[in-house]
Amino acid sequence: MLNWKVILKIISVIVFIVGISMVPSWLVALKNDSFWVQKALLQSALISLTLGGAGMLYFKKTSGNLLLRDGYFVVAMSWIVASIFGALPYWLSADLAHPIDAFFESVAGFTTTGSTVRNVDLMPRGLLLWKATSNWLGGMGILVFAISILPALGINGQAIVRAEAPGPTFEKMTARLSASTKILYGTYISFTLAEFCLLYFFTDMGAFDSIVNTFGSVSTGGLFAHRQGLAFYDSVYIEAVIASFCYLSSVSFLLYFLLLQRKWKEVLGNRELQTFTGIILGTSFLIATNLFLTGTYETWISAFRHGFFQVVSFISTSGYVIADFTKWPYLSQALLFLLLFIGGCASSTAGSMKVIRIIISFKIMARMFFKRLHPSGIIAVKVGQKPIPADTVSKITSFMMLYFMVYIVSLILLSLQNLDFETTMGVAAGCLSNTGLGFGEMGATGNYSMFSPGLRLYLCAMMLMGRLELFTIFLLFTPTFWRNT
Amino acid sequence: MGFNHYTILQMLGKVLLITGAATSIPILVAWIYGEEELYSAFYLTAIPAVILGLLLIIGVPPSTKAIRIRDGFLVVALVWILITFIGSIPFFLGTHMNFADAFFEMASGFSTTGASILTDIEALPYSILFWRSFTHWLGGLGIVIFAIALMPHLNIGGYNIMRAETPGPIYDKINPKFKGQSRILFLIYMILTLSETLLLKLGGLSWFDALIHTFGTVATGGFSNYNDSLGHFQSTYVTLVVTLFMVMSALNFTLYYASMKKGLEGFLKDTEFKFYMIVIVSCTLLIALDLFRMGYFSHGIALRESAFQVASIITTTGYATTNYDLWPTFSKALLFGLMLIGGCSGSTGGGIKAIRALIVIRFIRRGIITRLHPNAVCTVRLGEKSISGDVITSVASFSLLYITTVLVSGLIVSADGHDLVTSFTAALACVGNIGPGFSGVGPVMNYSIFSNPIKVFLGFLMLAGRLELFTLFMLFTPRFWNRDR
Amino acid sequence: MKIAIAGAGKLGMKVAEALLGGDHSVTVIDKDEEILAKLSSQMDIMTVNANAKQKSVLEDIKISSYDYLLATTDKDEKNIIIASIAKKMGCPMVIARVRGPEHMNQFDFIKDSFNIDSIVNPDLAISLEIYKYLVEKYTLSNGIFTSGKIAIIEMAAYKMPSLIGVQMVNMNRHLKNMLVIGISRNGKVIIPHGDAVIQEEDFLYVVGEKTPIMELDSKVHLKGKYTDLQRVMIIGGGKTGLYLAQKLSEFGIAVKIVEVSKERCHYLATHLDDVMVLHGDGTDMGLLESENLDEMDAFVTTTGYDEENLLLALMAKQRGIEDVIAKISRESYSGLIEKMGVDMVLNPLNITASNILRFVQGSKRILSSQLIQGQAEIMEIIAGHHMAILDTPLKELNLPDGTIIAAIHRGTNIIIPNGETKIIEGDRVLIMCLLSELSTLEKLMRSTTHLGIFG
Repeated sequence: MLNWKVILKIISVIVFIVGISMVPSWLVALKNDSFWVQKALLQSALISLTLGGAGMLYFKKTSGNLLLRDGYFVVAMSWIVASIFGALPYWLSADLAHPIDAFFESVAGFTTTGSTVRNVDLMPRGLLLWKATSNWLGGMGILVFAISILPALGINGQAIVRAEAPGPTFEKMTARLSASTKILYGTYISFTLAEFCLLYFFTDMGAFDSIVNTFGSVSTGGLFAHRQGLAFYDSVYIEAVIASFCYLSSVSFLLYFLLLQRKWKEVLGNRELQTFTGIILGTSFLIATNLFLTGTYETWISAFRHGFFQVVSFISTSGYVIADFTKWPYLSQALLFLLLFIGGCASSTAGSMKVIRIIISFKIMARMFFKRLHPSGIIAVKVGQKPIPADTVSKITSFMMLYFMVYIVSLILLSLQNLDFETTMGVAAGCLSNTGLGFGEMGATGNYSMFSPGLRLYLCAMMLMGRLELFTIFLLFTPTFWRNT
Repeated sequence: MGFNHYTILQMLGKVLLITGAATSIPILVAWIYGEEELYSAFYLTAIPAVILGLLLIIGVPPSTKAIRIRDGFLVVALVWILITFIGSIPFFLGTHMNFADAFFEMASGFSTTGASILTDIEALPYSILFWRSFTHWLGGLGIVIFAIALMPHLNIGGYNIMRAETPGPIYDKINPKFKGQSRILFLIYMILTLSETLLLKLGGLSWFDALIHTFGTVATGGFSNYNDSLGHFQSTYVTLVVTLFMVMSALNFTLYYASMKKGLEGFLKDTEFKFYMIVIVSCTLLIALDLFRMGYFSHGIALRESAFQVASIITTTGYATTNYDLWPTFSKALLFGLMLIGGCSGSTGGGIKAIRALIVIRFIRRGIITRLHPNAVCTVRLGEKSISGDVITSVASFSLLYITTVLVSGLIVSADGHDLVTSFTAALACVGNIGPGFSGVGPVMNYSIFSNPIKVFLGFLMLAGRLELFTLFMLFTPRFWNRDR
Repeated sequence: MKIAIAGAGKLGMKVAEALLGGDHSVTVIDKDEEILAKLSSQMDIMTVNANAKQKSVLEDIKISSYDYLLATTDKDEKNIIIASIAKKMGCPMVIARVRGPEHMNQFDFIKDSFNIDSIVNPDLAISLEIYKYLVEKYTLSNGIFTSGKIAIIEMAAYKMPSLIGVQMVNMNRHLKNMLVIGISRNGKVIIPHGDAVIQEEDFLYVVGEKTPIMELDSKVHLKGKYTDLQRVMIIGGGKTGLYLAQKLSEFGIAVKIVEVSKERCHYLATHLDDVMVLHGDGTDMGLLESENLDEMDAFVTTTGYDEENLLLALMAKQRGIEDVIAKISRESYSGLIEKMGVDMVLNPLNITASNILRFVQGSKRILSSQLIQGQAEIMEIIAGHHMAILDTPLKELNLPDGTIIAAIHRGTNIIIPNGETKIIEGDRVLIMCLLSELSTLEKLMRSTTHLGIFG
């Protein structure tokens, strides 16, 4: 059976962390927002801190190992619970009266999807900062953060990694898991600080906007500070900074570790990185040319600027908007749509299927061609020089199949809302990949209030599934999981 | 390049002969309907083809070398492209179509897709319309099978070609007397053809109409000689007959053979059949419910329309009785999902094939279980038979290739200036040999909206889909031409 | 010299045989009593039935009094340890056999860390020979020996038609001041004697002073030192096959390798780049045909079974493949094979044994040596005093059939020997000898003082 005590202890830690993170938002609310908002944030923070702290104290003596099943469960539950507690500020402040709306907003925050049911310009500053904070926490993973402190709490968190790892494998950088996660977070925090400085000191967007944009890009969440997205600023510098950090955050963090060790060659030779960058440049080029030739933009440079940014936004699954791409020529739209199915690199904050899986899929397909011509031939699937074990190949294939299946099923369920087909296609892709953008009616700046509460709940499930690489959430719903054998 | 040139040329010769002969049949129709001016369109195609065919058969010395895999692939691909070209000539000569259009229409015919670039079908002469639908019937069985039935000396060779031609995964039991198998298929095909024609005639259709629509049904093609397809007849009887035969044509023909010995048990034991029926029935009910709920039809009519359209789409026939593009999004989404499944293996249907869809689902299920129990040995089973790892890999790779092809093709089509839904469903409808899609290629629309290069591209896509992708794509890989790597 | 051999396997025994010919004393250590019993009844060696890994064993035989230790047990790691321990215990020179591909790139590191003097890898050695044969067609890339005054070239007989049909004794008329020391006929290397006749397809190894040889070379130079070899099929994915496939593919050749064990296939597929790995039995004609057997430029059989290698090679030859090479480890077949027309038969043991022997001879006597087609060796030695070959006219020396004195470098003069020539102390003598006759050569080179009272 499940190791309840350890699980609850971990969840308490998570809740506690959520509580602490609410405090800065409360402070901001004190300065900018109405009393209700302040109260809501304060209450939420207190509730979280209390319950979390209480749980931690109650289970203080508990220590032990997590089995694989516990691992999956704890990850799924942590995210759901965090989202619930994270929804409190929205709900209590009556900013979003309906609990499902509040939950949706919270889930969108933590899963770094960035979608919203409301008009961002009307959102109280405190709440907006809270959403940005939830982006930031969810980017690297709340649990990754927790793992770095779990040993201090006497828990072996190895099983969690399997469940939360963003990618087909989680390669440790150091022998101890906690050390590895500390490095990950270290890099993450450095990026955050760096981007903040670049934005705050060199533009006039102010501290608040800087923070929101920083949190949003480093986590590849794509939270808008203004309703028009980044079109609001109309600054190439800002776009460049944000695009850069979206790019940096969607590259494997393991590479940064290698960089620190001065292993330049290994980093530059990394196939995934090469492919990722290649896709970005290639697609940007195509879109830029498409935009230019169809007259959407006057100059090729301008077309490239807009195309490139939007490409980075889509492939990093952040979801920033620089222009209303639904008015762009169809080829560009189709390219952007396809990018939703590729995503960033493994072991990064980006979502979707991840470039490495795409690479391996092509190798798998190539292998089939080979096999048909040479039925006796044996070919190893290799990325660069590294061979991929058959087991991993199988896992990757089943993941991709599942991804498409979930997409189709979601498409069918979401269509109950009776929005047009294109919109539904886009929404499903956008939520599953944690991007947050859509096509058609959802448009570049549309919001999800078009969906009924029931379907919005399903969208939450989709966002969570996408963030936790499908299986974690899926497993909870299979009888196999609950059976004792 | 190491191909068995003689045997390949011999085969092509035989194919030319048969196709040429086939092209002369419409002359009979032209005679019946008094369309003398069209005689030339046909005999100018038939005679050169027959002569060239005879020359090749007689002139090319029989080869002593065995026919190998690569030869098989090349032959099949060339044959299909060749007959498409030959078939286009009467169109080209007999109407005002340009060659791209003719090629598209013929590819659509032989591949049993049923997509059309014609804006006004009814304006065409009878003989042309006959030829158009006749290509469905011919394509349905695969010219290659005819060629093999006439080539008794190719034992090993026959096997090699069959591997290239036969639709369906490798698990199909291959009748050891391969020649015998093709005769049985032919017989079943004839029986279906005759019975449907009779039944339709009884329903009040003219012989011509009955034959045309039988061709379209039995081959799961979808060409009609009326602009509003089957909606022209406004008859429940006709709708039901066609529905029944569409489904029957999309079932595994070897099951009919088995049922001759074991009765219905042959069908009921087959997992694919059961799966197929479940999908059809449940989708019919769901869509009927949706249509009724949204006020489109009364419950009786809703059921009828739903059953027909579900059958039409899943069997990849592509007939329509109403404009389903106007249906509620939920119904459309379900139809979209059905487009991805396709017919059963060993039938004239297209798509990924039901058996593969089933294997994929079970494969995913196994993936879930093994994630939870990494040491478990779990096999994928269909009924009592367990599927080997090789077959699973083959199925998974095929599915990946299929999806990738649809996505990339959709991209290419969108460059032609068509919205996302049109582009992607057009790609899907062509690769899956369905015919109609949504939006710009909906049931009341046609493919004339595409530019000529795209039409040719889609034509090849249709052939590729019919040949299960690998066969045609193989020709474009460097590996195919280089025997040493 | 006293030499200890740990591990009574094929290689160990081959080396023992050769060493015995040189009148060295050999001690063989092995765990298997039966094998030792059989060996000691066939050869004049001392046997020790023990586990050579143990220090005590080495102590007992007083390893420090030995000159060489050769570790040729079944496991690489054992060999390394045995050699290392022996070295530590005072044995002056140790040699270890290491076969594993994992170690291929770290021989130097192993030698340094474990203090081993030489490492031999038979599979690598034979692959190298095969590679050289296929790719470089054995043109001597460096046919110039130490002093720089003597040179050897390989030439095709048809390039100098006047030579065809000529007997060796009359060679002098056509090739002045030069000597034909070897003929490569149908893949077999022959040491020609007086009555040998040059045939059209022969390749000749000619030795002489540098200048005239160079002149000859410019006349008969085979254009295109490298063949236009493009496709090779290898049967057998063992170590030899692996090494060979790797080397060939690095050179840009399209390689297909057939291996019967699926697991091994996966290993090969993972470790080889740009080589097509085929899972199947080499005797499956259908498979080979469908994989383009008839268009192969070369066919190499390196399975673990001599019989299979032989049969497959013959089959390939029958189908008209240009270069067919077989790996045969048993001596008994080599006579049979040449009659059947396989282009090249290589015995990994011979090659390795000669490598080891060369090492054992030490640099005192051998100045340099080179392998010819894996079947013969050219070596330059210094005629030490008391050697049996001294001071006797060559024609009275009774040199074994597979040996020929190629040239003598005396002081600053080069002497191309004939029947009357005598070797004196201090001469640098160039000798060409078939590998299979190495032991006989050893006899020639041993000091007469060793014979002592037995004269």
